[in-house]
Formats: sequence, C-alpha cells, structure tokens
Amino acid sequence: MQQRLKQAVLLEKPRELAKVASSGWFSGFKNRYAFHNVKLCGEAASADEASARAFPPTVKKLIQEEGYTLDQIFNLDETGLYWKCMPTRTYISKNEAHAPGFKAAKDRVTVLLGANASGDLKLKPVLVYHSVNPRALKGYIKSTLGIHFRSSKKGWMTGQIFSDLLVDVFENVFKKYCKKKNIDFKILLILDNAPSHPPTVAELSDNIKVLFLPPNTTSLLQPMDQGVIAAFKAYYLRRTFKKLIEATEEGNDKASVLQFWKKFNMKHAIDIIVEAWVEVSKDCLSGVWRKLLPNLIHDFTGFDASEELPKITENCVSLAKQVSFAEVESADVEELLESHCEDLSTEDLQQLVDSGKIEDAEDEEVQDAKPRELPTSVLSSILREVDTQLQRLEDNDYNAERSRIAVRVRDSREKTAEARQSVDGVTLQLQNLLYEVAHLKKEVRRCLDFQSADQEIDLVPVEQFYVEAPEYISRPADTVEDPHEQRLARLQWELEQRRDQTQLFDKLTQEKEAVAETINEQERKLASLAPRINAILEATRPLQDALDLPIDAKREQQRIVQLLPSPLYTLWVQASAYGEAFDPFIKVEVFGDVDAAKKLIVKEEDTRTENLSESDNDQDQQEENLSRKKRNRKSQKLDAEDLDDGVKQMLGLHPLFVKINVNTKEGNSVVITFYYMQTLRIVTAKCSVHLQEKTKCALTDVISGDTLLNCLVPDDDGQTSPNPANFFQLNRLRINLSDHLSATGRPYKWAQSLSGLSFSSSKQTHVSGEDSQDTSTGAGSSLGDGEMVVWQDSAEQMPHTIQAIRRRLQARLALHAQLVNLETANSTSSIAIPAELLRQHFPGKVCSELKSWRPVTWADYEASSSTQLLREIQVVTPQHLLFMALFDRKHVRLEALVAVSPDHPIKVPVVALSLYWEDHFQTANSPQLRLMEKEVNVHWDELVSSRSDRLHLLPLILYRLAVCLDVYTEAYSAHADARGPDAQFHKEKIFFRPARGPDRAFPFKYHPKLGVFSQR
Amino acid sequence: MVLSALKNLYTTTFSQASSPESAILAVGNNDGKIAVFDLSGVNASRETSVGERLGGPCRIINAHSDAVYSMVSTDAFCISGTTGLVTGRRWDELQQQQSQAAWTISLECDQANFGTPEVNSLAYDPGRGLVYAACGDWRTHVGNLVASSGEDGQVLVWDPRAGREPRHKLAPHTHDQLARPHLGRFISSLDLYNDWLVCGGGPRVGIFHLRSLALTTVLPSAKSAIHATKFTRHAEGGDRGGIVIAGVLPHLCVCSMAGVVTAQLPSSSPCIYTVNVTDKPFTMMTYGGTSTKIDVCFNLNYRDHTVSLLED
Repeated sequence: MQQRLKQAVLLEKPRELAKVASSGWFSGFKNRYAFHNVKLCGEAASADEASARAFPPTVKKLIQEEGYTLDQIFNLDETGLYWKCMPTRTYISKNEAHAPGFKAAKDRVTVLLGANASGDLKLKPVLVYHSVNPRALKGYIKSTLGIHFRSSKKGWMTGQIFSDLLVDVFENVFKKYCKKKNIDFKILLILDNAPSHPPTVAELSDNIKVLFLPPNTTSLLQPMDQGVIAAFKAYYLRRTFKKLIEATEEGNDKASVLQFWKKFNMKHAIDIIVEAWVEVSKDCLSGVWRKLLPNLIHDFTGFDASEELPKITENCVSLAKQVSFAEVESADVEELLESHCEDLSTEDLQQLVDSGKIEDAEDEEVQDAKPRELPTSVLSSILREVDTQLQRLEDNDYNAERSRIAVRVRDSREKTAEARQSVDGVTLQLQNLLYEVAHLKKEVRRCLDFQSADQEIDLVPVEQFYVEAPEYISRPADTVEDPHEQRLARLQWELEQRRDQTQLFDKLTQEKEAVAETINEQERKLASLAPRINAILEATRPLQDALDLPIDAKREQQRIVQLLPSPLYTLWVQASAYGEAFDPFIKVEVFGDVDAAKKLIVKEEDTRTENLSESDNDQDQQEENLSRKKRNRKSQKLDAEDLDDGVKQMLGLHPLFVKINVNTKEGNSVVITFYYMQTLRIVTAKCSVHLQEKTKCALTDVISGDTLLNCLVPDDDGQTSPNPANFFQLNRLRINLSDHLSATGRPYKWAQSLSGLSFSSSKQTHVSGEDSQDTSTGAGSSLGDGEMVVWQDSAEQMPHTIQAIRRRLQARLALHAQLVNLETANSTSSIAIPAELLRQHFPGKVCSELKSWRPVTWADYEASSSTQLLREIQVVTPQHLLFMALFDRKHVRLEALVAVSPDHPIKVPVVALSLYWEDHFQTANSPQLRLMEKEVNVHWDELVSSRSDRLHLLPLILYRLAVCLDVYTEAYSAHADARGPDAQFHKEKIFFRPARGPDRAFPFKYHPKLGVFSQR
Repeated sequence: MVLSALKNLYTTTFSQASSPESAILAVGNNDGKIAVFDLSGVNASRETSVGERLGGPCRIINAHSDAVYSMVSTDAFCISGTTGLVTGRRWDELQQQQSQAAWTISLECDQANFGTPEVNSLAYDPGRGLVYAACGDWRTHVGNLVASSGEDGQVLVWDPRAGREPRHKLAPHTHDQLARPHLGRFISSLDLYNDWLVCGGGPRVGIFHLRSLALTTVLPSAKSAIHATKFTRHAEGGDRGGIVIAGVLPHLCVCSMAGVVTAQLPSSSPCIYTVNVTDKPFTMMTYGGTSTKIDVCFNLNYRDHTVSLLED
C-alpha cells in the first residue's frame, strides 16, 4: 500500500507543483497516518527484511576469514540531487511555474558518495551530470573542482562510468590509502545491486573484493543509506540557504533573491557539494555501519541520523526565514530532501531531452573556449583582496569560529601562493636554462660546421712547394715540423703566385688588344688596296693583247672551272697539273654550256634551302608523298613518256665536261672526254682516237674509242657503275646502264679515282693493311679533311693512268696490225714476225700451216669443251677478244682457241687446244696435247726477251703452235705402229727420245742453239 | 695469279709413297714438289670408325728441280727419283717437319742420250736392302724376282741373284689379244704377285703366269693407254684381292684375277699416273694424275673423297 501510494504521489506531483498548490497536506497526511518514517531514507521503501537479517552474519564471517579491518571495508552509493531546488514554499518557486530553482529534471545530478567503515577515508564525491561540458564549468580544470565530474545522457550513474571510476580512480585511492596507513592493500567493497553496479566490477581488480547486498535490502543495510546521504543533503540545503543569505544580506528584497538564483549555477552547486561532503562527520560515517556490522562498531559514539536530521532541518528553516521565506516549514524541507531520491517522470525526461539539446549546443561553445588561466599577478591581487576582505570579516564578524576558519583559509592560501610563486620561479629558471641549452647546441653545431676559408683552395703539393717557393716564404726550419705553419706558408705562396698571375693576365690582355688594333688597321689598308689592283689589271689588258699572252684566257678558263662539279674539278686540277709538270703532250680543257652550269648551281642552292624549309613543313612532305605515289602508279602503268623523263633525269650529264688530249710522239692522240652524271654521281669517259695514218679495218676493232680503254685496270670494263648505290637507283627505273653507254660514256673505275671519287668495292680486300688503308680513305672522303686524301689519290693515279693510256694505244695499234695481218694469213710463213725473232726462236722449217684466223664469240668459245678448265679458273673471261686459229698438217687438224686479253700484251694470250687425228683429242684425253698447251700457255716467256718483243707475242705464239704440232705428229709416229704409211709422219725435227717419263712426254721444247727438241 | 693458275692447271702427279709406321703419305708431282700428308688423324678415325677425311697437305717440300717421276717407300726412307738423281728422306724426319735429304745418289750422265736419264721407276728389295732404279727407257718391279719393262715393249724378268741375263722375256704386244698398235708397244706398268705378272701400256693389260710364261687373262680396259697396273693383296677389311688398272682414263678399274671388272672408281684426274694401295693398318688407296687433286678410297669399291694437293 505504501508503495502504491508513493507511485501515485510521484505521478501527481509535478502537476500539483505546476499549479503551485500547497503540498503541505501530503506531509500532513503522511504524518497523520504515520506512513512517514524518517528513518527510512532513500531506498527504504523497497526492502526485504528477511534477507536483510540473514546478510550481516555472512559479512561478518567473510571479514573474519579474510581479516579485513574497518579501514579496508568500503561502501559506495549514488543518490540523486536537485542542485537548484528550494523548499516548496519559497517565494520564488511559487512565483514561477517552471522557474529555474525548482525541481526540474535537468537540475538533477547523481552524486556518488563513499567512505570506509572507520570513517577515516572519505572518497571524493563523484558527480554525474547530463552534460559533458556545462557552461558554468567553462574554463575550469575539472580535476580542481573537488569532485570527479562525469556525464551521462540522463545524468544517472551507468555501469560503464562506475567501472571506469573503480579502475581509474578508486583503486589508486585505495592503494595510496593503504600504503599511508601501512596496511595490506586489500579492500572489501560493499555495493547494492543497482543496475549501475554491474557484476563485472567484481573482477576488475585483484585487490578489491566486491560484495553485493542482497536485493531489496539496501534501505535496511547499506551504510550510506543509513544517514550519510541524508546528512549530506541536509548540509547541502543548509549551505545553499547560507549562500542565499550572504547574497541578500544587505538588500533583503526579492529581486536580489531572484538574481541570486539566476546566477546560481553548477559551479556553485559543486562548491556546496564539496563543502557539504566535508561537513559530514567521521562519526556519522562510522555509525551508519551499525546495521551491517553490528559487532564491529564498538566505539560507537552515538551518531543517529534520526536525531541529527531534524536539527539540520530546523537549521534550514531558520535560515530560510532569514531570507524572508517565512512560509518555509520543516515539512517542506523534509519533502525536498526526500524528493532527491525519486525517479523521474516521463515529463521530466521529455524536459530533460529538450534541455539536453540546448546544453549540447552549449557544450560545443565550451569546448572551443580556452581553459581559464590564472596568472600569478591576478592570483596575488585576488589574494590581497581576499586578505583585506578576510580582515574585514575578522573585524566585523560576531562568530569567532567562522573568522578563525577564514583566517586559516587565508593562511593556506598564502602558503599556496608562496608555493606557486616558487614553482613559477623554478619554471622560469627552467625555461631560461632550456633556452640556453638550445642556444649552446646551435653554437656547437655552427662550430662543427665551420669551414675555414682556405680549405677549398687547391694548393701546390708539398714537395713542389718546397722546391719552388723562395726561402723566406717556405721557411723550412719552421714549417717542416709544424703542419699549421706549413699550411700558412703554402697559403702565402699561393697568394703570391696568384697575384703574379693576375698581373701577367692583365699584361697579356693589354698586349692582345694592341695586336688586335694593329690587325684591324692592316685589314683596312688591304681593303683599300683591292680597287687599285683592279685598276692596274684593267690597264694591263691592252698590253696582254699586244703581247699575245693568254693570261686572261687562262683566267677565263679558271672562272669556268669554278663551275665544275667537284669530281671534274679534281680531275681538271690534277690533269692540268700533271700536264704542266711532266707531260707537254697533254692538253686539258673545259667545255660546255657555262650558262646552264651557272643556273644549275643556283638551282642547287635553291633546292638546298628548300630542303631545309621542307624538313620543317610536314604538309609539304605529305603532298610530295602523294605526288610520289601518283608517280609510282604511273610508273606501274609504264607510262613511256614519264619513264623516258625518268631515264633522262637519271642519266643526266652535267653541262660542263673536261676534255683531255693525250698525244703520243708518233702524232696519234687519244681524246678522252669526262662527264659527270649528276644523279648517279659518277664520272664517265668517252674516248676517241685520232691517228696520223689511216689504217685498214680489221674484223675485230681494237682501236676504236669504245674498246680502247677496256680493262685499263683489271676488271674495269666500264659497263656497270662503280657506285654501289646506283644499282638501286637504276633498278627502280629498270635502266640497264650498258644500254646507254654511247650517250653517257663509260663509267670506268680509273675515271672515278682520277676524279677523287672512291666507292667501296664489291669485293672484300683480304689484306688487312690494304683494308685499313681503304677504309681510311673511304672515311676521309666523307669527312671535311678528306679533300686532301682524295686529291692525293687522284694525283697518284694520274701519271699511271696517262702512261697506261699511252701504252694501251701503242699495244692496240700493234695488235690491230697483227690482226689485220692474221685475217689475211693462209700459211704459217705468212704470219708477220720480225725475222730476227723468227730466227731466234724457231727452227727453219715448219710443216704445219696456219689455215685460218677468225674472231669468235664468247658463246662459241664457251661451247668448246677444251676451254672448260680455263673458264673455270677464270683465266679467260668474256672481256677477252676471242679468236679461232686452225692449223693443218695433212689430215691432222689442230684447233686453237686464242683468248687475247684486253690488257694485251701485259696479259698474255691463252690458247685452248683440240686435235683431230682420227679421233678427237683434247687435253683431257691426251696428256701430250695437254703438255703442248702448257708449252704455249706457261712457257711463253721463252719467246719474249724484252718489252718490245712482247708486242709480237700473239704471232709468236701462233708460230710456236705450228712447230709444236710438227713435233706432236712426228713424236707420235715414232712409237705408234701400224698406221697407214701415209698416216705416218716422217721425223723431220731433231729429237732423241720421242717419249720420256711416266707421262711419255713429247719433246716440245726447242733448243735454238742446238736446233734440237727435247722434253722439258 | 693468272700465271700460277695456269701452272696449276698443268700440274701432274707422278708418284706416291707411304709409310704406315710414320702415318705419312708423300705425293710427288711434275714440278719437283713432294706434298706430305699426315695420316694419323685418318688412322685414328678409322679405328673408331668415325669417317674422317684426309685434310690438305701438312707441308709441301721443294724436293727436286725436275719432276718427281717415281717414289718408293722403305722402312726408314722415302726415296724419290727425278732426272739424274735418287734421293732418300727419313720418314721420321718428314714427320718432324724436316725436309732435307738424308742422302742423294747422282746417276751417271749419259751424254749420248741427250741429257741425264730420268728415274722412271724405283723398286726396293727388303730382303737384300737394295734399291733398283729404272732409268731412261726402263721400268722395273721387284718381287722375289725383278721384272722390267720398257718402251720397246719387252718385259724382262730378272733374278738378281742369278746374274746379268734376264730369266724370262715377254713381249705383250706380240699377243694379238693385247696388241694395240696405234697406241704403241710400250709397257708402262707391271706388277708381280707370286707367280703372276700383270702388265699394261700401249697394249692391253694382261696377266701372265711366270712358270709357263703363258698369257692367262686379258683384262678388259678402255681403248686408251695404261699407266698403272697393280695387284692388291687380300686385305683384312674383307676386300678381295684384285687388280687395279688406270691410265688415260677419267676412272680407275678394279678387276678380279678372272678379268671381271668389280668396280669403276671415278677420278678427278683425266689421266691417272700413280696408284698407291696400303693394307696396313687398313685398306687405303690413293690415286692421282693430271690434276692438282688426288682421290682417296678406304676400300676398293668406291671413292671416298678428293684432296687438293695445293697448299691453302
């Protein structure tokens, strides 16, 4: 019933209060029906008497077993506190329905109070507020507040906060306490089983044993509930009133009371809480354990909450009266005290949530704010103020005890200030020292980093220094031993030297300027000389004409020569130089279209610049590519006209050409005209022969211009371009250069080397020495200084070539005469050989006759199997002039295929034999015929003893063949039996043995002095 | 270059001698040069049956001023004959790359015959330590007997122990089966084996039985002249004994005693002048003639390869 009533009251109360109705009736009601048990404070309503009776012995047993003293047994409990609450009849409350200052949910805080059973240790109260950073506490360091400040959403204690407190705060406090008391660190902590005390707290520390009270026994057993909390709240209220009185001491009007409430904030409340908790006496704290530990509290001095509380309540009422709250009665105070323990209604909660939002907003501001500072100066001024005020209080106060406290406070404050000042002094000193350390460190670092100026100077090595430096600087006596002195001396020497050099530099600079000046002056003079020289030249012209001196003509030629392409220029220079120096029979001239050459040079320059600009211009290039594609397409169609243009362009000759006349003593001359093919970059030569006397024509033309210079150097037929690059150029247009030789002239290799053009040869040279030389000249020609090499090359070649041409002409004329002779010859005796040679080399009588002599083609030559080996070893090539000579002796016929080298007679004619005598014999199946061939091909040197003889080599060889055929037939007949008598040949030649050696060699060798034949 | 090429074109190989102990083959040519081949590599490879080829000549000796017409091998010496000279070189010195002659015999000069006689053939009698040189017109061969043949077409069989008169006289060109008058009657080559004699030249090749002096077999051969006839022994490699015939032909014939051609080996020389057959330590036949190459066979059935006589 009691319980139900209480709930009803709880529900009704806020509304009642809102109507500002008198609630005295309730107190009266309670008093009347004796429901109100003052002793049943706080949670007394929910009590389980049976369990409460059974618990104390359990506790006692535990204590005895574990050996806890009263100092080690603690109790903690929370209680709600409306910190801004006044008794219901205070004026201010009545005036405002929801005025701050009455029991509003947001003014509720939870206070956790705790102490040990001996009352010796009062734990610092814990305040749980619904806001983390209340505005009132802005700037205060929370740890200096005298309480532990915590927050939770509802302002209630939570399990989390409690656990943290136990571990972070209380355990240390307990530990320190035990140490101080010199007792074991083992704590028995007695808690009620409220939701804020989770069972897990029992395991948080090894040294703290947690004992939970049985459910619903709190109001009966919990020591804190047995009067401590009530006393604390009463003290709180009393102190609040006292403050109010202090604030309204002078005016005593309601406005100031109102003002006080408005100003009254959490900070004030906390101050009051701290003071109220201090006020709770040790006896009170100890006495409340009576119920739980009835046997242990022996020295009970008789604190009884039931006696104490009414006193305090009275005190409060009297105080309230002082503040003109005359209506306040002790019942109101009791009611208020009790209401702290009540739960919140739904409305309260709603209100709390709303205001929470506001406070949250406050929180943010507060967090941003700077923590308050208390400079020493401010503190000391405050303390002075306090001193004077306290003095005033002391002077005026009627209550001596109060003034004593004040004085004590002042003293302690002074001490604090002193301590603080000394701390400040020490701090300042520390700061100074730190700064000094940093400064010194910096200095040290700078010292370490310091580099003296002379470290970067390169000094003369020590040895050299002692050798070079004069005595007064080096001072060997002092410096050899002392490195520092030595260094100084070396530095001084360096300085000395540098000074000298600077002076020298200045002097030289001046000299240079002077020389430059002189040069300028001389150049000016030279420049003024030129017009005068021109004038003199002009003046000499009539004289030249008069004297017929070709100076001007030469100059004219010189001017044309400048227009020559560089290969022809080289050729011209070398040829004319050679002519002037050695050979008056050589005449070198430049002909051609001078204007065209000039235009060409201009055009070349244009294209060169165009090329330069083109390389920047992509679009142009693309267009060009397009046009090239078109061109390609056209060429695929084989557009004849276009191709002709291409051919013309490809084979185009430079308009200027060089003509070299090589005259012989006999009055014959060879005229060689050198052209330069611009696109192919080769020099070609055309040749014509001018003879003094008309000669008969031969079937084989060996003196015409085209053939005369064939193979002037080995393998140089002038049919193909010596420039390897041309192969591709010509192939693209499908030009066969040899088809156009009549128009362009022949690109002989010697012509290239005369012109200073060098191309890498298609055949690799195997001799390393030659190779390196070749590459050096090749590389040289591409380099700038290669000009010299090229000229040297050309100069070296020139005499050889001119000589070769002369000799060639001579040889060809001789050959021509021989060929003319042979073509008409029909007997061996008609072969034209100087009589002397004939006598020298051959026996008087020759039976075999030369029947015919005719030129044959390479195809004919190739067709004969007798020539196979000669062709295989490339002794005979298509370059050779080929002839067929037929010899007969009766029914025996000898066919000799004669190959005359273009270089005849430097290279000897080569014969290939085949014999028809019943069978067809060749060298392969007749060793003797092979020996005969060898006789002429290898042993020809016996026939010629001088160079002039060599010119007659061809007829000599033919004659020899005829003689050999005689020997062959006769030697064969000598040992072969049983031929027909007419088939036999009578031995007319003199030889001793027809056959000799394993190969049964025939005696082909003739000994002219003995007139006999023998084997070799 | 052209001249040397031309000269090489007319090179002829005339003679060969080989020494199995020193593993050397010496080949003489018309230029007085002897090319020396080292056979040791080939020997080794024949044993392991890796068919290694004979390389080029390991050296070329300028042996004589005239053609090396004939050579013969004795145990210690490589004997070469040229015009008027017979020279001996030690095999072991040849092996050690030395080329000077150990001894030289100058032949009597026969002025009547115009010039010094050439040594056309050499023979060695190991039993008595004699070397026979056939000069001028004459050819000799040695078995227990000495046989000689010549330009006159006569084959004379001598017994050197018996005195100055020949024991037998044969004239192959008088046999109709052999005679080839258009080629001449000369006998350029003969060989003896036990009681058998084979000879050839202008006439065809024939085998004679020395006891009966009868022509037993006429060997088929081409129409041209014969320059080499040789009995080959029964070799260990399983080659049957036979007769090798070569001459102015681009190939070499191997015949059985019955006159059946068993093999025809192509030749790199159009005309073969010398055939050398060894059967120790293995069968090796080399033949050469009118070219700068010799052909090498390791049996008598086919040509193995060809070696150039020119120095690289």
